[in-house]
Amino acid sequence: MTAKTLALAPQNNPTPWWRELYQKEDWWSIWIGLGLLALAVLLFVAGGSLKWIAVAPAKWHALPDLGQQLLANLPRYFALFVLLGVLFSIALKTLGIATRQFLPAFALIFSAATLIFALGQWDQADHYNLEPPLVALALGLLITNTLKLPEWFGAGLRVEFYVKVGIVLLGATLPFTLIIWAGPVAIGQAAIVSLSTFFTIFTVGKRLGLDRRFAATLGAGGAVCGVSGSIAIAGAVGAKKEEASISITLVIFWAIIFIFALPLIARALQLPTGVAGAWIGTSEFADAAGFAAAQTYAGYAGHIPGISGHGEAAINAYTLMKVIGRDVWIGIWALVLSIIATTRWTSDTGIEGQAGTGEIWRRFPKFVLGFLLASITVTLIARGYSYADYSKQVVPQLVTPVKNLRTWAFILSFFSIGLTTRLAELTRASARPFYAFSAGVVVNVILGFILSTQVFVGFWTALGQ
Amino acid sequence: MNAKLSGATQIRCADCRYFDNTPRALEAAVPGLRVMGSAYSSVRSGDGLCSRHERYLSGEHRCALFESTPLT
Repeated sequence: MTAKTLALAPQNNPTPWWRELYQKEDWWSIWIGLGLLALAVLLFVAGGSLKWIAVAPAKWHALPDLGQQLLANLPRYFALFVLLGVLFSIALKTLGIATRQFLPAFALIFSAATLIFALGQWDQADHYNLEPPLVALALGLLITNTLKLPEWFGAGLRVEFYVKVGIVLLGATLPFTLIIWAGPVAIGQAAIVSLSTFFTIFTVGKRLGLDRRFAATLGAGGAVCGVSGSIAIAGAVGAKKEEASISITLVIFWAIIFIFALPLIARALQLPTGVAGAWIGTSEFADAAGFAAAQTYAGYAGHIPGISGHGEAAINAYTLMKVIGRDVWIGIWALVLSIIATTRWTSDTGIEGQAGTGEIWRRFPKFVLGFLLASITVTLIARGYSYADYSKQVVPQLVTPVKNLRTWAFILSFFSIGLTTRLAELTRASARPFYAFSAGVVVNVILGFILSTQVFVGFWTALGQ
Repeated sequence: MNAKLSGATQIRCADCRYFDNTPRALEAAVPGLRVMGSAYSSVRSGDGLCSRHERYLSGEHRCALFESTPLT
């Protein structure tokens, strides 16, 4: 580097912290999720409810019934589309995604999501295994792998954004007392599995001759939070571009398989809902993929003989395990690995790292704050009611409408997963990283199963009672 | 806590002309990133792609081949 170059270099001014409040989708998911919750609470306190606009298809038997109810509620569906369309457009426009591309794509995705949601309400849906998450995913996969979708359509496929909004809204349906009660067990179980999975992938990867930075990127993808884990650690340790890509591809490959496989195996074993949710939360790789699997299993509750516990327990256990047990620790993983990469992994690239504790907050998945705030808000409101009054007033007027909005956000996300997954691209990973990652998958699934169904089985079963 | 090697330069990659951390560019360059993740998420922090080294780096990395972004 020449002295002249140095003189031209701009001042090293870090981006002000407050810019993240509108430059990251995590914060937008908080503004939108908590904004909708605040609206629901205000209406509830004023004696009303958000339920008119938080519409959801009712159970139906024959197609004319469905047509009739959809037609009768058309203004409500349209109002919901406008509400979500406007909120998402503002957020994505600020992030740099053109509204003229997003809105038409969102209109098509929302229309499809309406039909998928309605299909799940068919009284024969269980008989044919037409769970909305699986239908959304399968339909999306079919469309994107057989048709050539226009470029602009991609603007509406924001898997992670939709699922984060859904998670913030989910906080309103998950009592904070439950998070306090079950959080430590979730963290303990997740820590055992995360560390075992990471060291398996890292060790096997190294023995197969992979660079340590690559092995760490693969390990974080399998152990912490899937695609987010891979991309965060790739940046922290300075992995090669194609190593980040391969790691992400492997996460998606296994995550897609597990969306279908984990609920089916749990169903065959008739696991209680809380136990299945904990297993999925321990062993799935990406948030959105895990929610698809947990939501599918939640749909079995009360319909499939032999499966005990209420449906929400599968989602609650999954959320505790994945979000509280695994996702929130990504900053610490990044800090530790960047220090190791900087001080111990020599490199001939000439690139030097610098790690500080600020890394923990910078990489913290901020949407979790919205999830916790939503949980605290509704828990405080519920404290003023007896159980009978809570069930009679708070649930139908406040909790159920928020839960419906959550379901919409998740279906939008599941459908978007299918529409963004090109199966041909998932076969591009070479053999050595595939073997290393798959070794971790085996450890992850078996250990997660043993901890959920044997060691902590009483705990997770009680969650569903 | 602060781990740091003796630096060839004190100027971070975030200010280098070869460094691109715009979300749109990342999602285009890393296939699959938006399938179950996102370039707009907090966990990515300010990481970006270095076209000189073909690596995915934190903006806080440093390198002797640093070149400033053109002044506009």
